[in-house]
Amino acid sequence: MGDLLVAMISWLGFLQRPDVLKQLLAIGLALLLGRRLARSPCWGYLPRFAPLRRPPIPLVEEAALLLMIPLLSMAGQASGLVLLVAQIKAAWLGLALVEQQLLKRWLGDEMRLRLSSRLLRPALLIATVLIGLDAVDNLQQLASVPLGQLFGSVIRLGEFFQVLVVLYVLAIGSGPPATGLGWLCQRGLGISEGSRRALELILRYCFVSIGIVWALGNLGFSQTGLFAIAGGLSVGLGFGVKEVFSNFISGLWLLFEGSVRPGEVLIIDGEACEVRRLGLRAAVLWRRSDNAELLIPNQTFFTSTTATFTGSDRMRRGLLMASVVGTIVPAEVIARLEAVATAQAGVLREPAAKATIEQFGATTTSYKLTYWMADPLWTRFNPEDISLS
Amino acid sequence: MPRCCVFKRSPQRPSLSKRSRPTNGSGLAAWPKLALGLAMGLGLHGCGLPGPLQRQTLIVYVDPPDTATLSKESLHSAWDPLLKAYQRLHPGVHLNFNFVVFQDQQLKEELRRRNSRGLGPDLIVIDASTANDLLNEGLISRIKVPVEAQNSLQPWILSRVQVPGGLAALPVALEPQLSCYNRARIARPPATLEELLQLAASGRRIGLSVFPKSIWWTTGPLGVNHALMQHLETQPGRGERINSNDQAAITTWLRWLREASLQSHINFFNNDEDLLNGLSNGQLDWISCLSFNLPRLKRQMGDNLGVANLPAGPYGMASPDSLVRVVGFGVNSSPIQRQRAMELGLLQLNPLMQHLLTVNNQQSLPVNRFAQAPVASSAKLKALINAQEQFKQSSLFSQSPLALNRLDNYSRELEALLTQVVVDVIGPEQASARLIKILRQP
Repeated sequence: MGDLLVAMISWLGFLQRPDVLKQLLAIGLALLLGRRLARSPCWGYLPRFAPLRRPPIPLVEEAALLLMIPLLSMAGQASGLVLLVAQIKAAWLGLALVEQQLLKRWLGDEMRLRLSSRLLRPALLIATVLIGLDAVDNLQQLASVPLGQLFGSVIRLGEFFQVLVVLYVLAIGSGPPATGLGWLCQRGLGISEGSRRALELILRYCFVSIGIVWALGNLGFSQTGLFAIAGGLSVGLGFGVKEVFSNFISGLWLLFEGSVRPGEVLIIDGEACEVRRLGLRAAVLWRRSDNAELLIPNQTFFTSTTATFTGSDRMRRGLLMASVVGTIVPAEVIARLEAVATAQAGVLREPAAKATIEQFGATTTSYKLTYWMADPLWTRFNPEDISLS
Repeated sequence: MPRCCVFKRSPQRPSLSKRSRPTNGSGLAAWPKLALGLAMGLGLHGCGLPGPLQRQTLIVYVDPPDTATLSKESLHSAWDPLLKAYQRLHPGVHLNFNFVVFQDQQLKEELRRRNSRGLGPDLIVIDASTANDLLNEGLISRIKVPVEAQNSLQPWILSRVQVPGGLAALPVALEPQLSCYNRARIARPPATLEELLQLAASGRRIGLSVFPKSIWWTTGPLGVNHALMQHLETQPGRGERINSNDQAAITTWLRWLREASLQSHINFFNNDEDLLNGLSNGQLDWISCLSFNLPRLKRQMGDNLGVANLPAGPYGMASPDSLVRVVGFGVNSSPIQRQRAMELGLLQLNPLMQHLLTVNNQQSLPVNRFAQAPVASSAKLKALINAQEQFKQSSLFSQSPLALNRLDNYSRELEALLTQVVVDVIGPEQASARLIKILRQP
């Protein structure tokens, strides 16, 4: 760690050099002029070149940086640093262009944002940092700088960085391969949609677990070290992280058991909700009535009674109470109620809807209509459909 | 301390403080972030401003002759005695180093790239041939060294770095070629080529190189070094008549190499790194090595590492190579950085410092003719001194920098030719004619 700090402090020594200071000044000047120029009202006087009317600020900054290079060279000054900054800036501009022009067309907004913020931009950020480090030092040598010792293993900067990147990529990028394998299993074994989603999640956990084992091995953790970590975790489980671990294990158990899987419909607080994701700590459920997403700790399903409509089949029995005022013949009302129920798109023909008289009154008669739905989340009739007038 | 030990300090260059002030001027006020960054950097490093303690950072590139990993930590340790001595002499100056290691093949490209950004080194530790090469390409600066310092160097060493108008770099150490062997497998190192062949016949595994400078040590014992030197020193392109005795001598040398290669326990390698790895991992028992390789081999082999001089032959002693380790000066340094770098370089030439560094690292010899290596206390240093003596007397490169440069230039072609000889693609007679042709080409 000491070597790394010494190296980092020594990089500031470059600021003692006139060559470097002049280039930094040129970079600052180019960025400032670029920004000012991009905001200049002069662009409005270029009617023939519509695309140039209001060029984006980064583009003008890039042009100003590129212009600085021949100017510095003509003055006999070093310009490689300006070129490097221009190249890095061009890479970021290129990424923005790809995101706006290509990914926006090919992928949906959500997918594009996720891909961009989780993979593309972090990757370019890492590349930028590495290029910066390579400019002031030797990456290979920096990678061998020891950070310290852990359980008898020397942790080196390069290995540590590599492990972080691989784990991040695994956590973020294990989705598509898991989806692919899940799809193959669904096609090959004929498993249900819920099972496919469960399989995907389990595969992702497997990939990440393998990654963690690899990471520990790559960092040179000895068996003693692993035992020490396991011992520490055992104590931790008894105190602080008990709930977290309990939720994690409950999630895995539920997946294997198949009672709570993505796509299942459960009754939460009297309303049918669809399971969207089963995470490490909590399940995410969607409630149609108010379009809310509920985060429910996995442990809840493990320790309390949960009603599901998607255990052995996806049918749900619905109930409608109706009161009829006046002297309409009950048989007519019953027939009309059954006909209305059968006419609904979400109501199954078999088992058939059935209406019965629930209660006779002096002025009103109460009826009960029971019907079966294919979609457990389908909840209500259109009131106009059941008008008897 | 003898008089020669005391160098005049290099004339004070104009203070950098005035030069660097414009960067702190009002022009930066418009960019607070940039100004803050600069102020932090300059504040941390003193910016050469007069004060109780001036902090200065020197970027030092090191080009090691082998691919052994040189960590920043080990380089800091190696330079620590020098730094301490410097701070005793300059108590008001605090020097930081950042050591960056680049191998020979990537050095030029890296220097070109980094110099163009103003991020090149202040000091660069290389051998004399590389320094001349880098200076020709404008990748390092020519330096002016006080006459006293120049006079303290052995003349042949000085001639290796002299260029019109100054020096290409400042010589600091000598690294001669030796033989390294596994003491667990070889009780007594071979003193002659005959003994070397007998050793191979007895089952000991010998590693030789086809790289011209690495196998040059065999030219002395086989009496061909004068003939080869003559051709190397001949004006390129001159069609002088080839002396039949010279060609016969060269043929004898090539025949010996081919016959050696026919022995099942003698292997030729086209890479010195393979020789070092072979010895350290037990696949070879005897190789030629440079004194710079000794710490690495010692680390890997422990007490099994034996060091001796290269074998003599019927025509004389071995003619080993000897690297002149120099420090070159970068082209991007600020005047104050250059001044500190020069002070540090000159301090390395001090006889006491040369003595101290020699005793500490046990891998190189002093270049200062007034500094003596303590041979009585170290057999290893004694072997180094003998090897250096062999170099001066037999390899003849000490007398002809031109010949050495030309050998470097034709290295690839000669290596290819020697490879063809040892794998018996071409006979020694035919090869000797081609070798002379290579050495005489313009």
